Amino acid sequence: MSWHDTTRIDESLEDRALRAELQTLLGLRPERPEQSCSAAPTAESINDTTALAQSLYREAMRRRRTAAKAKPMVKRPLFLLVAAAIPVFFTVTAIGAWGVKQKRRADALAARALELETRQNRIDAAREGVRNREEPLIQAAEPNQINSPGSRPDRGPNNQNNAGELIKPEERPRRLDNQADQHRVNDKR
Amino acid sequence: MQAAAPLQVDFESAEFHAAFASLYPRLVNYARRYGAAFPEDITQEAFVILMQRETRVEHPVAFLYGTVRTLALTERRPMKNQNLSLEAILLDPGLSPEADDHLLSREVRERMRALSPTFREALWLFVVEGLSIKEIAEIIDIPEATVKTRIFRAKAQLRQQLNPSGGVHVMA
Repeated sequence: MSWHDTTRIDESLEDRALRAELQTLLGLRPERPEQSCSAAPTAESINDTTALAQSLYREAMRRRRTAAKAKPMVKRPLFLLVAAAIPVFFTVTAIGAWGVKQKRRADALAARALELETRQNRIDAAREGVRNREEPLIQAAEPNQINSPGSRPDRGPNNQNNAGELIKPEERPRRLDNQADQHRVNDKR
Repeated sequence: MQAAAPLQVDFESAEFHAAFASLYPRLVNYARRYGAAFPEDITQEAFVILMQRETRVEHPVAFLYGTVRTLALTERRPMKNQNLSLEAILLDPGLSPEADDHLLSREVRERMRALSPTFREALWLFVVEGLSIKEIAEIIDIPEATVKTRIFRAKAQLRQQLNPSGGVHVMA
């Protein structure tokens, strides 16, 4: 970047001729107007423009430093994002820990229920085994009860109401032959 | 063989101060042509923006003209609420009567005002400000071919003004 205008130095002859022609049409002199029209600068005006240029340069440097200081502030949103994410992180962690705890509890309850069910099945199987072992003995004992003298026909093994029950023989009262001391209440004699 | 241009300009050098003394009044005048209420402030702001840049500027003069033009148009932007078109504001002599008084004669001003604003802007930058086609294209943000077209049409309009009957114009 230079204040010597290279593009104008490298300007084609055609463009220069066009500029000269237009200056003629407008009634301008061929030389640069700022050179021809502006009065010769005095020492005071030169000092003024120099002071103005220096003050503008100081202002530009101040703005550049301000912009450079403002650059780290670009990271502020990142810190804010991190700060805002901390409560969210703790909340998610707490919910996750609670969920894990509940899952472990549910697993323990499921295992306990499975264990109880297994135990119940084992007990049922044992009962079934006992019943299967006792069934032949019961069936073997029942015919003796049916054929006994005091047995009643409705209490045999064929009676479904008494199936599987052991029936104790009943002793009936002895019948007395002497009935002299017996009289009917309604006897009219 | 041309030497490579330096990356940064020494804004405290005597060369820059000489360029500043030459450019400052021209840029103030250029801002005033756009009807800026505070042309000096706009020009100084353009210089500060140029100095503040850390990247290389290929054409600093064109950059300054373009910045002044943008700032002047931005300053006048609230005027759109008054149903004034930008084209009417651009280079309107009624809005900046003293803009080119100290540079151009009355006859030249009349000839310039007779041109359409679009052609007048390109012609002003090319002839009066002495900028190249490339710089003007950078300032107005249009292709170089369009700049040339506008300049040639301005030339045709100027010829039409000088010789409305269409005959050969004799300058002497």
